[in-house]
Amino acid sequence: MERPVGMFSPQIYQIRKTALISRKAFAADKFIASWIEKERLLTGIGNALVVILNSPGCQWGLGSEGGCSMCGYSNETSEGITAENLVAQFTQALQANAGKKFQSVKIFNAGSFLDEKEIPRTAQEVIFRHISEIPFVQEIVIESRPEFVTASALKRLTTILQPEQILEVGIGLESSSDQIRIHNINKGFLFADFQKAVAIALAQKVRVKTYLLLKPPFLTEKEAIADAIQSAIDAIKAGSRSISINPVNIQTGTLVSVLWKAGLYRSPWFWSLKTVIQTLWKRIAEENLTASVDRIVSDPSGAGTQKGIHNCRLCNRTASKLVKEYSLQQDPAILNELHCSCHSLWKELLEQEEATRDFSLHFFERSINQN
Amino acid sequence: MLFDLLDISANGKYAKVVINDTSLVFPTLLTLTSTKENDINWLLGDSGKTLSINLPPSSLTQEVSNKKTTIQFVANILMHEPLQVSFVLNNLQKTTALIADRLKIVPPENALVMLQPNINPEILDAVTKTITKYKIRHVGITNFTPLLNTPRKALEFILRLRQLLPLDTLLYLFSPVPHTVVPILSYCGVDAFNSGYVWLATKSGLYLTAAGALPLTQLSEKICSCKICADLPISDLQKALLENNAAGLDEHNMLIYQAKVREVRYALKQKDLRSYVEQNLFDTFTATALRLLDSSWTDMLISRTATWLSTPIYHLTPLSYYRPAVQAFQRRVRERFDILPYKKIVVIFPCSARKPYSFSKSHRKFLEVINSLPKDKQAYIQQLILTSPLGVIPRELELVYPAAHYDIPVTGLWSEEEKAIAVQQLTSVLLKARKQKPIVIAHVSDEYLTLCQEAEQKLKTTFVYTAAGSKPTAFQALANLKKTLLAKIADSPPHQYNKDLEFVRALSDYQFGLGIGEKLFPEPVTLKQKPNQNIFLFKGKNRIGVIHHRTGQLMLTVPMGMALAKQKKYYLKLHGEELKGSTIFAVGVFEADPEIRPSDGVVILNEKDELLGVGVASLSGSDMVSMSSGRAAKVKTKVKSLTKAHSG
Repeated sequence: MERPVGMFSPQIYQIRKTALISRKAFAADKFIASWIEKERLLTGIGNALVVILNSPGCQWGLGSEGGCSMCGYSNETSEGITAENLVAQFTQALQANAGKKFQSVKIFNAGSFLDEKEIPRTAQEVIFRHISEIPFVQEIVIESRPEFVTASALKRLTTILQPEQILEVGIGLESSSDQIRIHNINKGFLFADFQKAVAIALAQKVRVKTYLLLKPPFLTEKEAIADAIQSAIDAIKAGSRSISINPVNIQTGTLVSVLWKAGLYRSPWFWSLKTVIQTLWKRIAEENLTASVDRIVSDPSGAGTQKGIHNCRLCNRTASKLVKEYSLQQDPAILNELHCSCHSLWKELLEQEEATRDFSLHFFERSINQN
Repeated sequence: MLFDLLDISANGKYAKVVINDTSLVFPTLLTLTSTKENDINWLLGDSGKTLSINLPPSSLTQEVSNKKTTIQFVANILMHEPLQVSFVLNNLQKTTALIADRLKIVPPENALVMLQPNINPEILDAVTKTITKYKIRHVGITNFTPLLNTPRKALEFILRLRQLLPLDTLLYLFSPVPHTVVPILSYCGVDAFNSGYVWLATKSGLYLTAAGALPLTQLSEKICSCKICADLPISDLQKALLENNAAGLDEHNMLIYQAKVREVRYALKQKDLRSYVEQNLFDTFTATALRLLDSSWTDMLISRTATWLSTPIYHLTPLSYYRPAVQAFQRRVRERFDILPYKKIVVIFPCSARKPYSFSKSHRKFLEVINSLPKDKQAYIQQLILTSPLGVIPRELELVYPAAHYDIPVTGLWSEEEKAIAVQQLTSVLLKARKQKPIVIAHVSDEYLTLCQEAEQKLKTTFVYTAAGSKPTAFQALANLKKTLLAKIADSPPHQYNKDLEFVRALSDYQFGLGIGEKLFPEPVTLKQKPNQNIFLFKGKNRIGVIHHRTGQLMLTVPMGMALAKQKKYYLKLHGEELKGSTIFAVGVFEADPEIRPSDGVVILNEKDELLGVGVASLSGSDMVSMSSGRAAKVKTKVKSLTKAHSG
């Protein structure tokens, strides 16, 4: 597959190269993290086991095109990880959470689970065999770039699982706009590639969860809101029943973090996420897509901090809680409980940013935070 | 587009601009229209008439709205730090092609490009070349706010733009900035400010005052009595704010912001924005920027600062010591003043509060002593006045701006900085006479005396002190001065003294360069002055010139102009055979002496170096050449017949 290369690719590559020099060393047999979290399942609210594997990392991100402008997960990868290492990591994670009840397993490996260069075929299969043996697990979520979503790769895994177990592949579409995905994000694939992958997955009875990025760099907050809404609609229309909205958080060794340090990037506002979620549900109803949607969730990293999605210091905590609550309940009205005086400043900043294309206006938020 | 530069003060411009029959004055405001959602644009202008500007395109897609506005964005050049230089330059080529394409529809005088801060010389060079090549007159700046924390970078960016772009290119700062930095940024060369700060402050609950912003919730009484504040009690404003409703606060804040811009315009009209900037030292950005401007951008500032003004200068802060007018004066004294070879005695006097010094009580006493000496011996004496922050003022230049115009808090306390400036200036002036080794008589006491002693040490000479231990005006001190002077000149032969000639020659040298006085005035002249009137120059019974008493400037006449033209000094060259009208437009000037500063007297020449007339510069010499519109100089006198005026 030919990968479209974005305009910032050379600089992203440079930044990543520098960041990788100081990459922290992880033991080959140790998983990076694992925990149990409350999760919106297809059948309601339940628990999910999250496992983050120490893997060789995303090949697109580590390649000569530099990877995505906001992604710093390559910092949590290691060279020379074997299939045996990965299996050992996963079994240890299971042991660490032994005795706990969960209905979903989510495996993250800072890249594509289906890419055999990252997770060798044997490791994929052994890990899935382990999962198939865990009682009560109904949902398995892995992540992959669309080019690795092939019928054979999926079939190999689904045949291992129990018939009632559902596999969901998370694909980071980020935006349905090719212009934004290629240039603002440097994602390296087209919307058409995503559509093809979704069709392949659905044919294999595999579900697709679409990750959408809220506020790629070089977009105004207003543009970012509009893009996230439109992208979700497009992804749903393509057949993805789960949508996860990911507000950008500042990760080290990325173009976004370099811009952030220069004062030219601000993570999105909770107000913007609220707008996206509420408008999106309205659009879904208007376009009669309600039956095509299972869940629209958002689990922001670094929520309420300067590096993650945030409003002002007065309402960050409440906002984080409400977003979590919304994701579990799937009731957009929950977000109406958010009230704060920063709302009118947010509106004003959006207006000014749109009219000036000045990405440094968060400079003026300090004054309100000092009052 | 008609661009009329009315007044200039450093990089600050007071200008009238006419675009599509609408006339605006700059500096001015940019305000977002708050009509319907998704139908907003900018309005340029803050007093009645406005021009519309569309919203800027994305720097990645460059897509512009097809909304018809008077001024139209043609591009948003992706150039900010920390993007790779090679990438920016590469991308600029594509954007330039796009600009060229869009200019087929949008006339250059209506075209606006958006820039982002970057101080890389290669990038600035390439970007400004594109702007000048396509004759774009409107330049926007965005992403500026982080630079409020790095004044050095902010200055570097704006002043480089001001250096690389013609003066008649208008700079629009789209990034909102607090009103307190409007004066300094205008002084740096920004022509229009986004009033968006008003709305951001309002929504943040800030109540603007001339000096800054106060949290409204903490106010217990009204500070302002503008029409909004007069009608609404403070509690109503606070209540409205809590209910998320600006109700009036925005209007009050807008009045404060507007006032700042209008005060800047007033200060520019007075040709002295500098004083207003010094009165607006409300934040560290302004203070830091002013310091850096004076130290790193001196030449640029001086070249665009008027040489001759009649307004007072108040030295209120140590920053005042380095005003361009002060530095320029000190420089001219060092470079263009000479102690004549026959001066055997230099007398140093302390300054006086009253200006010019000769009008003060103390100096009248000093002058009485000098005048009481035999007439044929007075020529041996050079008087110097020691002061802060100008340093040393030769008696001949005491009328000159800013020597006769400054005021400084008189406490008798000199800071180390002031002392250093004065000593440095005194030593360099005295060094001019090192060949003739004059006797230096310091008729000073207290701090002045310490200064003289420091200069003495530096020069490795000995001064004679005639007022040590008493007031220089004390009877005993004056008697001592007279006795010392008489003793020192007793053995010298009589020397003819034409005080008035020395005066005009020294003044001419100061104005046009060392040695020019002799060329302009080869023969003796006499001066006549009545109190508070201009000084007239006479040659015999003929009036041959005038010196403005309020600025101290010698006005050029055609005969003086002919002599000056021969020296190739303070000239500007025009295409054409004769002068039409009383204004010289920059578009016609193809060469000019780079020494020219606004308000300097100039000679106007044609291509064949023939004198067409004399006038007064409105711009610096280099700006006259680079600008393509606006007034370069005012004509004072035209030459009647060219043949007579050939200067060779």
